[in-house]
Parts: sequence; structure tokens; C-alpha cells
Amino acid sequence: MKCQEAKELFPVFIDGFLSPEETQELQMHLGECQECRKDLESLQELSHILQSMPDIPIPPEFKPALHARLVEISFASKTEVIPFWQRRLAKPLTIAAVFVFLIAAASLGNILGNTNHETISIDNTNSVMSNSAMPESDMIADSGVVSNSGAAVDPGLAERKSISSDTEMAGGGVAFDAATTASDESMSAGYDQNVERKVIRNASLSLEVPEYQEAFDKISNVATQYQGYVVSGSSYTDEEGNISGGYISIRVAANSLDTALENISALGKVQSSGFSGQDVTTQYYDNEARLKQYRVQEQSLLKIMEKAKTVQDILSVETELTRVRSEIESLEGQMRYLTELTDLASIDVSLTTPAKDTQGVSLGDWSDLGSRIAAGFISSINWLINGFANLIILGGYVLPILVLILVVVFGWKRIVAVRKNKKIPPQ
Amino acid sequence: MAFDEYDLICRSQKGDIDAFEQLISAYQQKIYNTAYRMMGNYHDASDVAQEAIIKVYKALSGFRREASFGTWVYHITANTCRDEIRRQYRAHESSLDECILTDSGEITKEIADCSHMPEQVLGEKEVEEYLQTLINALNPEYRMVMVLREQLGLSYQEIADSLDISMGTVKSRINRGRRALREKILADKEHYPDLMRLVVRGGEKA
Repeated sequence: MKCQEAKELFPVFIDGFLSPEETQELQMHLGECQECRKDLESLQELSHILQSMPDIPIPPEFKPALHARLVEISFASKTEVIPFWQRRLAKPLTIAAVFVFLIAAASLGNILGNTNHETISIDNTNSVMSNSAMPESDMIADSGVVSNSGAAVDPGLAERKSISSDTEMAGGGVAFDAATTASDESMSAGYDQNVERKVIRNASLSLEVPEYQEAFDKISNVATQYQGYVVSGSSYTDEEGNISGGYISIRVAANSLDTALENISALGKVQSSGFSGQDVTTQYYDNEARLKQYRVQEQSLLKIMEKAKTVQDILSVETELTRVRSEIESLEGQMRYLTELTDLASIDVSLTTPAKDTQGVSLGDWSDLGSRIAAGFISSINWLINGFANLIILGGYVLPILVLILVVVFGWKRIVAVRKNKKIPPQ
Repeated sequence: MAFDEYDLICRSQKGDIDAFEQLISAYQQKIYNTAYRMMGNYHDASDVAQEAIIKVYKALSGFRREASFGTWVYHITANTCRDEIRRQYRAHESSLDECILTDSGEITKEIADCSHMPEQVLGEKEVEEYLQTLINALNPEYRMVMVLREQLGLSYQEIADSLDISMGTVKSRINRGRRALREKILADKEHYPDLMRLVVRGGEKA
């Protein structure tokens, strides 16, 4: 053994951790090498001196200070709230949260499948209950009825369909567009695509306009602009003889209905609007078929007329011919009427003007106090209901995040705990 | 005795402060010694010793009695001292003459002269003070290993665990630490002949 190797064993030897074999080897070397022996002896002596250094007197204030800290700590740990719910409630809470999360996730599918919305909104001045978007499935069902009853002759059997969308719009015919398109689509279902559809379209509007006469004139212009005419009009006055509102019914080319409605809506504040379509396709084509039949009958009657020899014959054929021809004319008239009805859509506009200030004693804000209180009450109740619903919904939003946070926090605490255990030896 | 300690541990775990103080009193002196040797002054020693005992108290509920209570307490003490020394070292709070010993084993600085008179006859207290100055002068990493070994009597494995270093490092630091202290004493031998007589009995190289 060389001196270098021996010296490396010194500390282990001094501290008594050297194995018996190594000790033997080392002692063999020490017997031969005086230098190493001296080196080891002095190191042993040093170690001995260090180990036998006298105790350091503990300052008198050490114990009282320690006692104070211990009392403080045990008091703090008794009053500490966090450890309680961390130890006692953390697990059940986490499990519960995970369960609720799973249930919420499972029921999400059901919620998504059920898209029936109903909104109730309250305006500050006038409470307008609007029922937006009639479920589409209903419309399709209706059109199915129409197509099934297609062979019927009675015009009354033609299904009357109406889609109402009473909305409080500040202007613009978006709702009309939507309604018209939807109606067109539903009517096309079940019909031969080659057959031209005959639909009578009606639209109604309630407008608040600044000037009654001006609006009336402009609506008349719209009628003529879109190849139509004013059907009727009326107006009413207030106590002082001023025109306060009125009614105008116009007709415009059916394909310009949407544009015309947009133009009219732009004249004032739309307070309500409606749209209806009457499908008369079956009636029209039924009439057409009957007309053809009568025409054929007319032709054969004319042939019989040529062959008629006696006055008696001529007269009876003449009577029959007259009956057929009057039928033909009646049917032609009906068809013209239907064509005209479907070619031109009608728009009914009711006009109102805002109440004007009067010189007399006015109730002003007190006039509709009752209804406004009611409106306020309903508004407040709705606000509360909505608020509560939103709160629950918010809970739904927050829950997964909360679960995540809980998991992260407890995971982190666990890691910290494990680390602490590492730092402080187990025993 | 063992039964008493067991009883005291049980009561302490339930939060009995009196029982805990009684329990720790048997180890208090050694904890304080270690803290003082490590920190080199009374103020820090008191703080660290108190901190270590508080840690023991807080961690007591986790003590499973698979090892001796003493070993466990000294381990916590070692950790507390290590943390404080490393904190101070990082904060450059550490004292005057440090970095005397590097891992390359070189002594780069002389420790402060203690202004003792030559040929002075040293009492036990003076010897202790002188040695403490030497210990303080060691690089903190060496100081820790030395104190844990010589004061607390921890095994190499326990020191390695406490300081997160390898067994080889522990061994080499103890070896170099002792040699460094001895070289220092040899260098100062003219001031402390009494001490030299003890230490340098065979250490003086020819």
C-alpha cells in the first residue's frame, strides 16, 4: 500500500468506519511507514480535541424564548382554520367536485340537443313581449299538411300559414327576409319543383312615424314604385283635430315585397310586424284543370252545334254552351284574381305619431304610472330570475376551473409535503 | 429512560409543551453546541438552535419512532444549520476570513491573529476560542461537514444525506478539513505551545 492510498483511508479509520480487511492493510502500512503513522496520530489527536471541546453555555434567555415560541405555535395551530378543512374536507370536497363535473359534462349533451329558447325582455317605455324564432320543426310539419291536402278542390283547404315575428326593431327588414325565406322553403316541400307556386303574401307593419302625412305619401310612392297601388287608407284624429295616426293598405309586386318592406320600415320606428302567406297553388291548378275540361266541352258543343238540324237541338246546345262558357269565364276570372293576388303582395301599415305636447294640464309622467310600476316590477323580477339563472350558469362555468385549481393546489401541496419529508429525514 | 422518552414523545405529539420541553432538554445542549460551532457566534447560534427545536416540534407528529429520537433530532439540526449557513453565504453575510480552503485543498488566507501573547499558557477556554476561530475560518461547506462529524457525531452517510452530497465528498472534506486545521495550528505553534504539544505530537514533518 502506498502512502497516498493510506492517507485516503485516514478519516474513515479515525472515525471508526473502516472495514476489518482495510484496517489490517492500513496497519501493515503504518508499521512500515513512520511518516504516515505520525500524520495519522496528529490527525487523531486533532479529532479528539475537536470532539472534546467544552460545551457552549446556553444563554439564560434561550429557554424562555423557546417556550414563548412553542406556546405561540401551538396556539396558532389550534386556531388555524385551513388545516381543518384541508385535512377533513379536502378529499370529500374534491371527490364531490369531480362528480358534479362529470354529471355536468354528461348533461351537457342533453342541453345541446334541446335548443328551445325563449327570451323575455322588457323595454323601459313599453313592455313588448317578443317571441323570437318559432321552432322550425313546426313549420315543416305545417307544410307537410299542405302538400297532403293538395288534391282538394275547396279553396278553404289550402293551408293558411302564418309566421309572426313581433319584434321591437329599430328599423330594417331582417326579420321579414328571414320569415319570407323560411316560408318559401317550407312551401316548396312536397311540391313538384316544375309547378309554379302560387302564394298570396301579406305583410303587416306597425310604425311610429314623426309625420303622418309625409309617411302616408311615401308609402303610396313605394306602392307605385314597385308596380303596385294603394288599396285603402284611413286616418284618425285626436281631440284637437290633429291627425294622430292612420292605416294604409298597399299592394306591391310580390317579388319586391322584401325591398318594399325595408323601405317602409325605414320611415319610422317599427313597433310590430307580421307576415303571412297563403298558398293557393292547388286551387289555381285545380281551376286550370277544370277550365281545360270546360274548353274541351265547349269545343264538342260547337261541333254538335254545326251538326244540329232542328231548332230544338240548336236551342238546347246553345243553353248548354252558355252554361259552359259562363263557367269558363268564372274560372278564368278566379284564376286572374288568384294570379293578381299572388303577383301582388299586400302590405298593411298602421301608422302612429308620437303624442304631441299639449298646452293643457298634462299628467305627463304620471299618466301611465300604474303600467310603468308594473313594468318596473316585472323588470325587477325578471332581473332577479335572470340574475339567479346566470349565477347558476356562472357556477357551471367556474366549476371545471375550480376542480382544476383544486387538483393543482393539492398536487402542489403533496409535492411540497414530499419534499419536506425529504428534507427532514423520516426518523 | 427509554420508556420515559417514549411517553414524552407521545404527550408532545398531542401538543403538550411541557412534555416537549422535557423531551428536548436532553438534546438541547448538543443542538446548541452544533449551532454555535456552525454559526460562530451566540446570536446566530440561539436563532438556529431555536429554529431547529421548533422544526422538531412541528414535525413531531410525523415521527414514527423507527429510528432513535436523538438521530432524528440531530438530523433536523444539521439541516437547519445547513439552510442558515447557505442562506448567509448566498447573502454574503458570512464573516471575515472565509475561503481559506477550496476543493483544490489550497490554503489561501491567514486567519486573523488572535493577539495572544507568545508563550502564553492556555486555559481550556482559550483553547476552545482558538479552535472556534479556526473552524469559523473554514469554508462553510467544510465547516458543516466537520461540525456534523466532530460535534454531532453523525455517520458519513448521515452527513451525506443532510448536505445532499456524496459519501466520497464527505470523506474528502473531512480529510482536508482536518489537515487544514492541523496546518493552521502548526503555523501558529509558536503562539500556542501548550496546544501544539497536544496536537503536533507526531504531526511535524521532518
